[in-house]
Amino acid sequence: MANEAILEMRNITKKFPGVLALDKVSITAYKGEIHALCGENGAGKSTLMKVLSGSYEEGSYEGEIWIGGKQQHFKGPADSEAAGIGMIYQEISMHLDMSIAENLFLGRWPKKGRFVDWKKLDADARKYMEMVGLTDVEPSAILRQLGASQQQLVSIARALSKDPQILVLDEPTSPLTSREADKLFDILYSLRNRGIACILITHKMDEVFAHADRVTVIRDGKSISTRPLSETDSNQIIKDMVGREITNLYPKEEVPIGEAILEVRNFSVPHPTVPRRKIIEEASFTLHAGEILGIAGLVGAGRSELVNAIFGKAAKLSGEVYIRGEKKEIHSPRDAMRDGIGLVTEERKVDGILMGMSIAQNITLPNLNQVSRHGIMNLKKERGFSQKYFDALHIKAPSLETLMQQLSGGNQQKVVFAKWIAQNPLILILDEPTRGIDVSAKYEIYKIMVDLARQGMGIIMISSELPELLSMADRIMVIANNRISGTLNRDEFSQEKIMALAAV
Amino acid sequence: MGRLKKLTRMRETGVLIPLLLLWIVTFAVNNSFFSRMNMTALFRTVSITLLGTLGETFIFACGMMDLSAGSVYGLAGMIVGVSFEFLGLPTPVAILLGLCVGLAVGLLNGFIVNRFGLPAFIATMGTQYIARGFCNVVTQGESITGFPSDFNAVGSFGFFRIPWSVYVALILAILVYLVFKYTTFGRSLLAVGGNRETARVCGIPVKRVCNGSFIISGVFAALAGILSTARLGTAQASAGTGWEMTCIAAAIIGGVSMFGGYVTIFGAFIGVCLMETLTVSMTMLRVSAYWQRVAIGIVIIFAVGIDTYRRKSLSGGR
Amino acid sequence: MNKKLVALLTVLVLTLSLFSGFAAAETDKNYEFIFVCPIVGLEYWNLCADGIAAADAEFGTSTQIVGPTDSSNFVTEVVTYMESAIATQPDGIFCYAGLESMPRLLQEAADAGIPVVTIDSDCSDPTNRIAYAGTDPYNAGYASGEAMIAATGGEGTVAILTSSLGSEKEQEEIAAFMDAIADTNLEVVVTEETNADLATGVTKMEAIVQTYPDLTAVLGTSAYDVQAAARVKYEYGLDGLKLIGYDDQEETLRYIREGIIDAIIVQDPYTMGYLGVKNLYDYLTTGSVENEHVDTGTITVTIDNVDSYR
Repeated sequence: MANEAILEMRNITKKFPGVLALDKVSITAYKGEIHALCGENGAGKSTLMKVLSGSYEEGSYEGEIWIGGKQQHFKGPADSEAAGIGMIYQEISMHLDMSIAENLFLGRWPKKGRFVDWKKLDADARKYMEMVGLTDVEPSAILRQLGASQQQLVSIARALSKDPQILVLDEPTSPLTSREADKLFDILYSLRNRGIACILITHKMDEVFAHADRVTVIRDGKSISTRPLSETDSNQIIKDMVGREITNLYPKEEVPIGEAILEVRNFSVPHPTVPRRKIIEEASFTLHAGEILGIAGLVGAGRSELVNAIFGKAAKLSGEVYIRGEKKEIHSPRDAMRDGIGLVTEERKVDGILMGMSIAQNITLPNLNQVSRHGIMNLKKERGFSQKYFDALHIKAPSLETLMQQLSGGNQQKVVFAKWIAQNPLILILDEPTRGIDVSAKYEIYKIMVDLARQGMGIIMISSELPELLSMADRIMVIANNRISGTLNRDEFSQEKIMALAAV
Repeated sequence: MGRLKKLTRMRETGVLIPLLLLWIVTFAVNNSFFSRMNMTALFRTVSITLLGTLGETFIFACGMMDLSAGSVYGLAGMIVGVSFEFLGLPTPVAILLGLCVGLAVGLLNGFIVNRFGLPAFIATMGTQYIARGFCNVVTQGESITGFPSDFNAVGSFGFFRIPWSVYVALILAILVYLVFKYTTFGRSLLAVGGNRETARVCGIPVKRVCNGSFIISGVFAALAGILSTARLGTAQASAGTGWEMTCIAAAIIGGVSMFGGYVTIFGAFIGVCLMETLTVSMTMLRVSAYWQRVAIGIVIIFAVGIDTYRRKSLSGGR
Repeated sequence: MNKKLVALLTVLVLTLSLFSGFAAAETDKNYEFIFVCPIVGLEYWNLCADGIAAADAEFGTSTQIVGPTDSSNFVTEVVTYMESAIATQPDGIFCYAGLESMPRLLQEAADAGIPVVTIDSDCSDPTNRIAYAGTDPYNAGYASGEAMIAATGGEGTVAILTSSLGSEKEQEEIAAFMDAIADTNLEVVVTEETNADLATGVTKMEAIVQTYPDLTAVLGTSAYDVQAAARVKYEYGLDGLKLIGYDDQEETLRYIREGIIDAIIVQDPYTMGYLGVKNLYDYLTTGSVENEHVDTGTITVTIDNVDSYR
């Protein structure tokens, strides 16, 4: 494609105290292309994008930015926006209590004299909402009432309304269903046809290969490669990202499946936000020793609510839990732990880890009775105890005293695993265990899961990543329409079947 | 040299510096600042406020705030007075009853917060009014004096002519430090403050832990009120009004995190020293009473400012 | 038959009570007053309440006492209580008027047609109150100055402890004190605030004796101030220090008997309360008051008359 380059970042170098975040990174984007940017967490992608967006002003880094053949000097995000760069971030940063229209044109509301021209605002908003396919809500709807995916579409519409030449999207499809993701790529195609360059930061290989024209890989702050998609394959890209050969993404092994250790009968769970509604109705299932039971379903189907209720973290409406045939009353996490259940929650930042405390302190938190006597802690024992799991799970950190906030996502997740494994539970529930974690850490977590299963633990894994489920689970249970819509055995696995069961 | 470096990196240095500066400046203007008499008086007051600050430290650790401490301080003193004047009880029993006031208010605070889910700030504001109301009701606002000599002795000097309250505060401060460092209770408190939901998911009995901290805060405040009453020889119905704000300010200035999850006992001690020294220094530096509040405000901002600046530069400007 | 009888009786009883109500209203109107007190529950104001109760019994009136119970916010709270008192539309209001905002509030009361009497501290603008009964703070302050001269022989340095620099009454007393000692060799070297808190008073006093080791005397303008000074004098053995104060709390009188406090200026809140009620009653029944401005007076209490002055 002999297109002209619209964006060139040349030899960008950025230092932080003690860390070289970017080391002469260069990237070029052509007019009318979809350019994927891949790299592990901590590779430098977001730092590079902050340089491009003007968050890091000129002077705080070395290197040049050229747009449309002219060198740019960004003193702040306003300069970057004025030069035609539109940014769509992973975390929604809009005003939730304002309407869609107000958010779209924040700071540039059309005026009639000194007053806001609400009619024009409404009409303009409709134009861009239509562009992104947001047609089933009114421009006056308050953002807070929309779902995460709709909010994402609004932020995309907002970026488009500023007429960018270059659009940067950071993991845009994570809050979207696959149908909405397809629609998003349709929008990107139409932008591409109009000559706009789209830089797509993503982990998802299938997205890269389905939609991108070229892919650039960054590793440890250096640009490693830039290739057209037609000349490469996913193994090569992963190898570039990780720096070594990974032949098998999923280390699944055959593990003998034992007797039933958990039976859930007729579980009903109240809806978390809508009063007097049930999000799960009369769900029943069984889990066996050594088995990995995957739970699939659309975002918002109620999977987390179901497992949270089983664990006693949230309240249930009705239902019974039997562990090894005995009925158990579980009304709090303490009860669940007593009965041999552990839960790795969906969002570790919210309720999985203590950011300001050390690795050792996090690992021992549910296990205080194992490192203390009569309420007095034995700090030496605590060190030995956590060192054991630190080593076993290959946690990468300077020491046991390192604070959680200094660890990468993958290592944080390993600490969460460690604290539950130390309980030696019968049953371990995992809610999106590999979300936001880079490839090599994911692999290690899969290995841990297989080891645990081999030791006879029963594992329940909620995941929205179909390839992960299909590879790692022995059976997959699909939740849709407030019920278990179906369960597939390994020999019946297929993406289509799961999607069919999950569809609302 | 390494030791000195470690000292400068210590978190509490940020508030220690303004305190030492204040002491040196006051001494320079008035040499009697470091006299035995003055230091004794100062540390006697410090020890009493330190008890309240230690109590608030438990509350801060789990992310809450206790506004009822001042009223408990006053009510405990009143109950001791009533025990002597109207019930003729012996000293140890009177003291015990006073401590029970702290226990009762602490239980009440815990009950309101856990049962009704009210934020601690609001709940303790309510109990602050209730307890203060009782102070006034108990004697129709009149103060009580004429305590037996063994009670007055408690408020007076002990070994080496050091006030008993200093020994009490010192021992309790060490105990509190040990609790946070070496007990599961202390660890649980910090976990609840760090992230309440994470602690709950890990099986920490959050409600029980919070109740415990309210009880401790109440008993410490009551103890402070009793010691103060013994020292003054009078139980005043309005005693302790606004005292909890001094304790809370001392804790925050000393570096105890308002949001929970981190405490420093040494820092709390420094914070109390700073707050109480300010009151005395203003007089010794002959600052006009009209300007004292302005001066105190400036010193506090200065102290917190130095602390914040140090923390920012130590953590690499991130 | 029974039911009809019961109904008839009920109607009869109700009608009778209505009549009696009317009758009572006509012959013996019970005036209802409100007293807005600056700090309800303080010993001093309890004495005032006793005077009010005596007057109520004598004149057949009923007075409701309202006000804040602690001194920390009393300036703003008194305003709130005044406003709600005016809104209640009683027959009369009497209040402590030593606040900046009082003239406006008295105007509001006058607009609402409610007569107002001020006690203990008069309003800076006396147009809207029908009478004042209280200690003239100037006279009280002057008396404290005379007591100070008597105790010290007119020579030396003086420290002043006051509850709040914002209290008009206390500041006026201090000004009068300064006038009284103007021609002597007494010099005020320091003034400190104590917020009417004994512990704070003690801390401040300890700092003062450290800073002014040759201090001759202390003047305390509110009840706990002189007690704080007495406590420190006793503990530190400062026998040469002279103490002059206000208000006769039990503890203060004890210090006088023991010779620790030299003299106190005692006010007469009982009479203030009594006159508050009487003035309103006189005004409502006869249209005028006996005496528009009554100085309820002060007594200087020393070791000589401590047991006999009441």
